[in-house]
Amino acid sequence: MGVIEATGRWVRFRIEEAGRAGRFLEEAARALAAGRTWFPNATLQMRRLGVDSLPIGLLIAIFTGIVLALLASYSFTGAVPLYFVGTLVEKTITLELAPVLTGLALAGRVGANIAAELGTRRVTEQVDALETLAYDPDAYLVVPRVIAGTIMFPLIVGLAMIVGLGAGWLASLGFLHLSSEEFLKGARLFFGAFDIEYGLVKSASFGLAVTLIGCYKGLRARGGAEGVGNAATGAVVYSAVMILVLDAFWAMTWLHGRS
Amino acid sequence: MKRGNDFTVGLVVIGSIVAIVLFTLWLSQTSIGSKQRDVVARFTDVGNAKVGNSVVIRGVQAGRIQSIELEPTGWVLVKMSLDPDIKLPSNPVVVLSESSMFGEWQATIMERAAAPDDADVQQQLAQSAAVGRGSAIPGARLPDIAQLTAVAGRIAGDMSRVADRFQVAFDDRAANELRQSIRNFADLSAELERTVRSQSASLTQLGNDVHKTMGTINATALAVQHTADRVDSSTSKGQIRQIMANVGEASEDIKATSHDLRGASHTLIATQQQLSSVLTHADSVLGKIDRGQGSLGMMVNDPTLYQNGDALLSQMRELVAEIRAHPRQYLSVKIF
Amino acid sequence: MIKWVDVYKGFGDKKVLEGFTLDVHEGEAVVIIGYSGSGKSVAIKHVVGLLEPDRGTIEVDDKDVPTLPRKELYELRAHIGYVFQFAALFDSMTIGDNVAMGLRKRPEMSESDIQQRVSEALELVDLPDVQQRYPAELSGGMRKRVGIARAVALRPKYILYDEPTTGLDPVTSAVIDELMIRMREKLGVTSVVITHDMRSAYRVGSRIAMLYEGRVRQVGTVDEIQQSKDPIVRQFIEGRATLEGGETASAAATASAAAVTPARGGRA
Repeated sequence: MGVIEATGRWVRFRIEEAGRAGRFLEEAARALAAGRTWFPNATLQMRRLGVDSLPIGLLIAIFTGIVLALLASYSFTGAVPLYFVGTLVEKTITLELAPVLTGLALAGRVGANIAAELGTRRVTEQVDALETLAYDPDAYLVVPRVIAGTIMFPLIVGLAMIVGLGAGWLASLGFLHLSSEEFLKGARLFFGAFDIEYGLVKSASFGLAVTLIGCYKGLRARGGAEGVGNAATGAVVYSAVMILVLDAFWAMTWLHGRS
Repeated sequence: MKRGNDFTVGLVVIGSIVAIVLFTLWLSQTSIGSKQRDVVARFTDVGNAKVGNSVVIRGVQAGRIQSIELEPTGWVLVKMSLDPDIKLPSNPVVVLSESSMFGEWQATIMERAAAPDDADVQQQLAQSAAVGRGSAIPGARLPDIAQLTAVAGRIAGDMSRVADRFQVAFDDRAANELRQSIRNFADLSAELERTVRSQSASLTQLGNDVHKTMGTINATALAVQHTADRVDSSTSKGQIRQIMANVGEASEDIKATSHDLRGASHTLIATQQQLSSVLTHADSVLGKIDRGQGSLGMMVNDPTLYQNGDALLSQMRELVAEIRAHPRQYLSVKIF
Repeated sequence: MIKWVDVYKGFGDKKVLEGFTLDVHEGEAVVIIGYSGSGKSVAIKHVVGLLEPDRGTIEVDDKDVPTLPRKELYELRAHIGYVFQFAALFDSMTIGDNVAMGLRKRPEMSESDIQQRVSEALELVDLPDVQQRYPAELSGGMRKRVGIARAVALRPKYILYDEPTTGLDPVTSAVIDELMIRMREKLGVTSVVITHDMRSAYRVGSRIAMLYEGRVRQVGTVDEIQQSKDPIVRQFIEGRATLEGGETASAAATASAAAVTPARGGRA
């Protein structure tokens, strides 16, 4: 009896949670219309969430590029011409690693930042205060962050692609004694603008998800410092899972079936 | 503070967008700014060619495939954008082919006359050209790797058939026959010498005749020597049989003549010496053959060796001829 | 006029308001007293639509707050100042920007008008020189005064004070009380004050309402409350640990305290 009751309560709670998340999304979408409220804040958030995240994003890209070049040459021993290192680095960086690794790093940085900040604002009644001053918290707090994330994630990832490929290139020159011509030949062999497009659209969806989850978790924080901590943890965990889910989603819906 | 922030963000946003766009263009080797020239070609089938594949003129990349459209009439129109300063051949055709073993294709623009001399390709080009002159360049696609391997398999089959036939034409029996013929020749010479010796006593009155006949024998011997030289370099058993027949005839003549030699003994000694030297020479040639010197000798003593060598040579010649006939078919495929 | 009509509000299984009914007339200063966690904050959050009642309704100037469309709700909020318990200042902004925040929402006000209004409001709370400072640099009492200035700067018709003197020393408390009285007398603001500080209640209130177990136990003038015969009210205003009958009240107090951990987010 207790188990059934507990299960029922758990299911009800999950459904309610889904409903709340849905309403949150609806409110956030509606708040988009209040451009005058969110626009001035958007550039601030673009700097805090985007520009300030550049160093970590690019650092990851550098190491990814180097590791990929070496991994590729290790895997290709003999059978495959070495210039395929370029192909492998280009494909994996643009299609997968730049978006996902950067996304995961930013899920930690941006997601936790947003959840902690909004959580603190929630528990110190700053969110209520905004409302009483006739500000819509969705328009004032959520939308600028979501917009900033959705715009800045692809830009960071785009730069990470460039830096990652560059690092892979330099590693190929330095460690593998591959010539620039060979590396570029490999990189260009199967390159299509679609690779970049796919990576960027994917990162935009990551940015959207990470910031939305951060805002949702933050605004729903309860009960002081512990609540804020839980919100930040929850935001990071859910963001990371969501990034992997979205990654699979895009692969299944967009990549799959393209020859 | 606020303004500085906006500036930083603006700078990063614009800088990133520019960098990403340039990066994409650079990697895809699209030239910016310069006006591209569009060329359209018509195909019955484009194989595995894709938008973005290279367009090549005389082996140099000159542009990219911009679009591939299936027309309602059933033709496939391929639009290629080329660098504007590139000059097309006067009567151009476009041939699609594989550029690597990994399924990457390219379009090659070439002179009509330089198109691969393949019945299928020629037919595609003719059909395409017949539809609309001027509106689109005629195009054809080359077989891909799978089809090429099929062709290679066919060639290999042909070669082995040729080799079989060659073996049939020159088998062990033929070699034995040749060897037998040469032995006969040696026996004949020995008999000739013996006959001449036994008859020497009665050779008294026929000196003049013999003298004249000796001239004939000399000429015959020269002819034999000459023929032996030719035999040395010949591989035809028909010729050899002919030679043997000739030699047989000559010996018959000599036998017949020797009966009239009884009176010609006074000149006989010299003639005998002369004949002996001729026969010695013939003997040395035959000895050489028997010892296995020279290609004929080699062949006589070990026919399979020569067969193999010659079969190989023949296959090579066959392949070279085939490649010379269809150079594009083989050489345009860059394996890597 | 602010009217609570038979308001019910619960959070999950915990019932906080159970038939709360109270009228606040123009020019009045109504003080709501009650145990910590008895739902006083919950009650006034309904007035600005931060929470929606499960049942019953709240009317402000004859407008039904829970059913008000978003746009009209924001218009209504512009006439109601809300002073939060811990001031709830935006800590990323200077004091000046904090006070100007509500004014910036008004397109008809120029930046110089706003600056003037901000200076006035800060002078009113005796903090003329803190405009460029950040909330973290101020003491608790100063922050509360800034919170009041932020509410006052809007020139509201109503001000709702959520425990304005809690946690302050007696002198600062007195200063805040003075401030609230000045607001009402000088600006003619109608106020609702939540407190459990009886000294403050007597000083500020024109009427006092005691909230107990989700409804108003007794409402009346300061004199009426001071002479109340109700043992629960007497116990609270006298600050005794037991009822007059000797029964301990701590059980009841603890129960209601546990019942209402201020959970928010009805209309977040």
